[in-house]
Amino acid sequence: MISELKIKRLPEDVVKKIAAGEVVTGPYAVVKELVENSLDANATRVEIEIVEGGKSLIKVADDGEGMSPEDLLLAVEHHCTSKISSLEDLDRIFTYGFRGEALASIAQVSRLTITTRREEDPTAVVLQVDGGERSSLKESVRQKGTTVEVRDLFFNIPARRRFLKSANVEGRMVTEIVHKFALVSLDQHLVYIKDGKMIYNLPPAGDLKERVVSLFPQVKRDALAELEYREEGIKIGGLISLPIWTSRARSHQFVFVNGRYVRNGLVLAAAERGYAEMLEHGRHPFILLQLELDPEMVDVNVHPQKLEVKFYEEQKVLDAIKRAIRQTLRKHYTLKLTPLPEEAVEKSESTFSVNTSTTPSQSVTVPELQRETSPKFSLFPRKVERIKQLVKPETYEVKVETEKKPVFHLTPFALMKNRYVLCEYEGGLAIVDFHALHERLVYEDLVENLEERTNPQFLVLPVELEMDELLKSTLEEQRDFLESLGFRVSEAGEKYSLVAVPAVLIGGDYTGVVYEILEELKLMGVLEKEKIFKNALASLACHSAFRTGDTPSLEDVTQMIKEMERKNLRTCPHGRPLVYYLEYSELDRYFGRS
Amino acid sequence: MKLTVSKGELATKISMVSRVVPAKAVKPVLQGILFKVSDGRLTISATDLETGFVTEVREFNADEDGAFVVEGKVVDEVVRSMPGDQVHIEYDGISATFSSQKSRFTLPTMNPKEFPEFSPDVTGEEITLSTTQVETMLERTMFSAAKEEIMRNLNGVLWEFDSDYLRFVAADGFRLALAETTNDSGFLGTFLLSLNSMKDFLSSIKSASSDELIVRTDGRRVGFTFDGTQMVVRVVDAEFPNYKTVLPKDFRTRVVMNNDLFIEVLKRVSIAAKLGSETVKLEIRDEVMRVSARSSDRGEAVEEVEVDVKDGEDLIIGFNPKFLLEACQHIDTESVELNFKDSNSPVQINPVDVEGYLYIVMPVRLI
Ligand SMILES: Nc1ncnc2c1ncn2[C@@H]1O[C@H](COP(=O)(O)OP(=O)(O)OP(=O)(O)O)[C@@H](O)[C@H]1O
Ligand SMILES: [Mg+2]
Repeated sequence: MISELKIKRLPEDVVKKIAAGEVVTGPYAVVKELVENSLDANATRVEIEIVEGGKSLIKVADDGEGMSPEDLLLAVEHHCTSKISSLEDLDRIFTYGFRGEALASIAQVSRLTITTRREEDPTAVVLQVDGGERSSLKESVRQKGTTVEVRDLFFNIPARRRFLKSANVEGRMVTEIVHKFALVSLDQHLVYIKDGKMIYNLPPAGDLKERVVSLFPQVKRDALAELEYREEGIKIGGLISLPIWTSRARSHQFVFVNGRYVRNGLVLAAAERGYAEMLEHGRHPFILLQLELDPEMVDVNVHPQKLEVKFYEEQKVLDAIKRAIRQTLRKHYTLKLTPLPEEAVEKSESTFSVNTSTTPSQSVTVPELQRETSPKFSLFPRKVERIKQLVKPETYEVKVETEKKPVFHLTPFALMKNRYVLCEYEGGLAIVDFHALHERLVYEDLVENLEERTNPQFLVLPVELEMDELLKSTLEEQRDFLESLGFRVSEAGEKYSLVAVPAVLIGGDYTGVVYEILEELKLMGVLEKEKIFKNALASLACHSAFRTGDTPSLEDVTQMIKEMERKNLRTCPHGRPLVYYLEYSELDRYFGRS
Repeated sequence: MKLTVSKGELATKISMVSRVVPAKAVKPVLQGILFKVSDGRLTISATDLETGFVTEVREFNADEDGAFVVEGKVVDEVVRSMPGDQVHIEYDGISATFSSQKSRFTLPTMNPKEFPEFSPDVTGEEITLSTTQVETMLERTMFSAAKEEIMRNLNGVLWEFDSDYLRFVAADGFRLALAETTNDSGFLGTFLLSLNSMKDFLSSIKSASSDELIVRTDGRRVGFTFDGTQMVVRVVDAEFPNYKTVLPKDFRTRVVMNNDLFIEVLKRVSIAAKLGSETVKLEIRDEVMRVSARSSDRGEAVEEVEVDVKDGEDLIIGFNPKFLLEACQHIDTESVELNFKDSNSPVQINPVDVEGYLYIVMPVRLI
């Protein structure tokens, strides 16, 4: 029997149209490509295993369709794919893959082994490719499906190998990819093993909440609300947390457009605006948005490399997201909270600042989106993932004027909304963000008296920490660091409990801050240690009990401003500015006086 | 409908129920107080849907049955400011006029049908307790509860009825307070009530003129009946940690001393420590306890106290002085007893020769 070839070499004209980006940038990219292949092969079970952050081994096994021996030989060739065959197909892509490039690229830079078997074949076959050198096919045994093993990534490109991050960091990046697959592939059974330890064993999930809670135990089920919203051309589903659950990092925010993960700051900003004033400044809710858009609403501008997509009516989409969130929250709070007056919500918009690691641009760019209604798309823009962006939770990085303003002497005269202090100075009006200033002063005190402030105070009732895998591994790696801040954690089996907290947190929310600091520590190996330490102290300052009452007196404020001037402070611990200057010259210009 | 009510009683009852009236609410009617005359009783009620009050005003005259809702904060102020001993209320279906001597206030009303039925009749068996007993026990424990609302399972007081005792437990993580009395009711069960509701409850029972307090619970809510008032509190849906495992057992050092003296010394010495992360060091050697504190900005303070009794081993241990102080300030006996195990284990603070309450405080590491 001659088995028909499914995989074919793409014609030149198609190859030319396909973005020739770099496919393999690190272990996480390999995992992403392999899992996509398994899903494209209609697997119902996908097992992912990595060793040493994926640097020594990445293994993805599935129970999908498998390949014939002939197809297997073609699969590792450049531009060979079973998923499309003509130019027209480029406009109708129903699969994650279509370039026929992934396996070929991986084969070039690693020791690749593929074992595969179709249901109808009597035995399995194995193919080995070492740095592009193919060995001959061998027989083997396995059930229907495919196992791909990638060893010693970049073994033949030492410069690239050195460029890889530590096993911890690379491993966490892989875990993040696994999270994203787990959030879209509810019907598949996913298994994730890291350094011989079973991290996830996720059977097909009944509902999204179930998945979310098993991935992120720190997000409480009761705190999650389902999104269900529809308007012309737009459907919005997913889950959001009620304002009782927030975190400082934005690492629990996910946007999927037509089934595909996208990183999109504007969408998240719109979503947070839906919360209006229910969110404390600098706090971010859990957001998992599943947008389903009519093909006409998205510009699938097949840019050769960028893989960008633009919403035709961007404002309409963003407004819909905001409304969807607001409606959902209203439903939950009709009786307990003041409604969000439209007015207040609109107003807050102009002042709502969100920062994302993507640069805000006119159009929302998402990775290439395909025109299809049953969505199954590539999870990641193929080219843009830079390591830092991937692991870095988007944090505040406000650029503060670096040019040295002369130090003015401020005289406070009024308090606005218990938040802003109005001051006069020789050049005009200055507005001080009171809470930011207060946080900064607490932070300064903390730095000055670090030993006393971080002295461990033991807890009568240890608090069990509920953490996702990323946080757990961070805790294991960064225990000393946490202890240097005054925390003590005890371990019993798989459970971790907080047994002591730094004295500065007495009377404050001491469990919330641990999670926050762990989020910060995830960046170890990516950011400098000093910076991480600073951020951790900023979190402590923010949660300390040295909080002033809600209505500070003008005298208190005056004292604090004196202190600010004495120490020449300009930003809050998170880098936001403390003072806004409105000069007389500006006022004069506005009022038409010269 | 026309009503005449004693001003004193009305003012007290309104201020009691208006405690739960929220400052802002989605439905305006929730910011109101319901006045209702039926079956020869005048009741006023308020609720924020978490906690609710219905109280009976005893001294009144009414010409017919009826009901209306007026804004809580407003009527509270109006009635308190009225000059005479009696208040006349006239409701015409649209507004309610409150008058007394020469002053008159006409207040708009809201539809009583919209007032939420928070149904104070909690089912479940009746437990009869003594108001004064409960009041004392609450005062002895409440201060140790976590103040942060976000820590839901600690931001309240645990009521625990077991086969022998009724216990109140409150803890904020660093310390724990426990008060108990014998449970003669035969009721077994546990519920956690929020700190806010316990504060409202405590101030309401303080003015009760009879000592009988009836408690009922259906598991989700708890109803309190005392002195013509019914208060309904929602049970906090969070699990109080298993505190029994942390109650220390085998002590190695025991100290007894004059409580006031200890309080004074703690106060003096903590001046040297700075707010928040302050630490006092207790050095127990022979019959002397040396209390000291040191801080980078306020220098050092040392004071030695002769203790009345010292059993067991010498010990050096550190604490946040605020926790020791607050515990000792709630000790009613002349002497206080401190029981230690070692410098990493909690101290148990209790009165001498009196059973029924104790405090546990965790140490800090000494720098
Ligand atoms: N796990 C698998 N099960 C079955 N067939 C597979 C599997 N992985 C790869 N293949 C086959 O090998 C071919 C090449 O895979 P490869 O990932 O290189 O390209 P692709 O998925 O077609 O496109 P892309 O480069 O965009 O991922 C696929 O088209 C598919 O036919
Ligand atoms: Mg592929």
